[in-house]
Amino acid sequence: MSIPREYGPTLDAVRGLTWPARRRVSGVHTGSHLSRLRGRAPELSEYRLYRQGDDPRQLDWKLLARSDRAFTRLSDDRAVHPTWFLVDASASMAFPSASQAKWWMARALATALASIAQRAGDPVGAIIVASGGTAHVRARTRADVLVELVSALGSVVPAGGADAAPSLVLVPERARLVILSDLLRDEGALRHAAAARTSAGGDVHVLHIVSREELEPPASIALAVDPEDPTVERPFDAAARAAYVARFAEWRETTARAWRLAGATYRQVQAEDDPGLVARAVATGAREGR
Amino acid sequence: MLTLAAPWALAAGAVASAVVLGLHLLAWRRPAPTPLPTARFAPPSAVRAVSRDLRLSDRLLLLVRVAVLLLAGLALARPAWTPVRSGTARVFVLDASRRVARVGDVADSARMLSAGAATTAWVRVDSVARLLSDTTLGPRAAVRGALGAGLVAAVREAVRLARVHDTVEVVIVSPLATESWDASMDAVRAQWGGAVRAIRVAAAVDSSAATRVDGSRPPRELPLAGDPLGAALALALDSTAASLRVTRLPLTAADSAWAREGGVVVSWPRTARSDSVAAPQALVAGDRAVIGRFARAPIPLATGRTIARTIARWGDGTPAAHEVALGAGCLRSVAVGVPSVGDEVLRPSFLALIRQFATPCGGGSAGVMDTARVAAWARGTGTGAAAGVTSQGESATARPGAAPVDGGQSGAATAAAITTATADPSSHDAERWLLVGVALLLAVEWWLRRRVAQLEVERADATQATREAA
Repeated sequence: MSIPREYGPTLDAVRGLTWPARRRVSGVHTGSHLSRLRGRAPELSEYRLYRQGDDPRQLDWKLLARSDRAFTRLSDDRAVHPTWFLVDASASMAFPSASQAKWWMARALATALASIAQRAGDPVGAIIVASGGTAHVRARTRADVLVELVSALGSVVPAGGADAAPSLVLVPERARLVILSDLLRDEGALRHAAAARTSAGGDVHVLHIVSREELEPPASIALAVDPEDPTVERPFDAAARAAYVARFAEWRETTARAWRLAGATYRQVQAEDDPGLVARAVATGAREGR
Repeated sequence: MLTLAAPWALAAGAVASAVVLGLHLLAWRRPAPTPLPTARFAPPSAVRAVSRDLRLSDRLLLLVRVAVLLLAGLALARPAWTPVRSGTARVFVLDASRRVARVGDVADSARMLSAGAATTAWVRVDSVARLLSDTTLGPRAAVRGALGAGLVAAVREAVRLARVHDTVEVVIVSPLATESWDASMDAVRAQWGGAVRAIRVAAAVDSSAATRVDGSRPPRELPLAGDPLGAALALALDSTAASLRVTRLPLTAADSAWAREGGVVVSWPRTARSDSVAAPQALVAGDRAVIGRFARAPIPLATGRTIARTIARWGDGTPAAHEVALGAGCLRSVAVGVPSVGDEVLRPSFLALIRQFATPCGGGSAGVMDTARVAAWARGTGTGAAAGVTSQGESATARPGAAPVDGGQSGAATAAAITTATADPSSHDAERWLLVGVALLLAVEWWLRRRVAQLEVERADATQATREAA
């Protein structure tokens, strides 16, 4: 089994990119991210006066001979950084109904970012939260993890509504967590869980996916119904539309500020954008264009 | 029958109801839902929108509103329930006073005139008026008549009948004697807007009028005794008979002068001998009848505007003698050939018959109302004083001897006028109760409108609560 061709342009767009961790990682396996540990890496970082207990093998003997003082060679270790994707597969992600652009953006971003991480040697895992059950892709560094991830994403049909926050217990605390969601389900609980992770040194990325039709509802909508909660019905006349636009913008702004205050990297993604470009921006840490 | 004083008000109510119905047809219906994950950010409000579908919304509210408008229109239209008027009613004033020659003539004339009337009422009047159940008048009263009292009773009955009949007519069957025509007749006639017809019948002899005959003139001129008629008249008449001239020759100026002075001229020309008449003939005059071998002769027709009154008929109804008023007297033409042999003309029955031809003019026409005056009164335009001249003739509808002196006024229009004047006061009650109903329905409509709004708010709140709970 291979990755579908529809992901080709997106994967091409992120080829060669690296996605460094925002802080030193605590992994012990050698990887591409700076580790919190100092060890015996070939690259010299600095010297330090020898202290009792240091490994004598780290002594720079030549420097001891020249200066008659004992210095220990210090170097930065590099470690792998497990990357986990939490993909929201609720009914609200299957919007717009015709194109399901939000769900496509989530799948493409997960695949692209997983590709970047996997190529850097990081273990890649995923949790797909759907109403029928949570799909779990174990974190691995093997090349076929991408295929497994794409397969898992393709086998899920967004429907119903399920809370994503409880699934975070499956993700290691210090792993890099990428949340791909529209944050319409349990945004509060999810944010609190993410805040705990960032406090513990975790790395959380929130990719808030919104659709153009959510930003500017078409004029043909007379009565809007929440697909996850049919009891939520709102008539859309001119006044209601204006109020909706204002309140939705305010909510997005409030949500972004709350996530950033929680220590996460927040980025609003429009579903109709090119996922390759979005993935590059995420990986390179480019500032949000909108 | 329901009548509306202001039908435009009901039409306006109907138009307003149609407008309300049209507004309700622009139904508030639930539009087609469209999925939108961020729908929660729209403000909650009643989930309905204007639909172009022709579907009634809030049917109960619509029903109450339409009922309010229609009832208000009906109340403002001031409805009145009036019975359906149809047919003709006639109220007869039957004179049975002393001036009536024969009460039977009065009853017979009334019965004939009542033909075709849906309803009839009978008022007998002599000195007092009395409502009868039929035309049984009873004997003539020897008192002076009071037509005014009878007319008052008749008008009262006519007003009652006008509520249910299309045409109401008051018919007075009377000799229309001056002594019975009291001062209230004009006033009562003015009160009654309907038609009045006066039918004159033969009057009894007025003893006061007989005294007016000139005493210097010979009381009678009869044919010679050799004429069988002269012999019969000599036997039949006594000394108290009126001034009489019986001529077997064509009438002359002297005969007319005799009549104008108040005398009775009987023209009884000689005809072919009735000896050859095989079948006996019946001859009727007044209440007398005789059967004999009489020959029929052509009766001269009345000329000009003269009205002739039949005073004798053959057994088949053909006139045998008539009377034409002339001045203070009259001319009587008799077309009966009497046999010259035998004693038929000397029999008591024939003598009694020819006494009828010797009675004063009009059967006692002295002291009766002038025909023109009565006709003007019947039309509702008579205001002058009573005249002493009487015109008598034959009526096509009344019994022989009864003469119509009607005003010819339409009864249909006047019956409506009478009915309007006596409008049913229950119409005001209907208007009042309709307005009370409108007020009650308005209260119901206010309560329903509040209830509907409250239900919508509760539904919206429940939806909101469900969402918040979820």
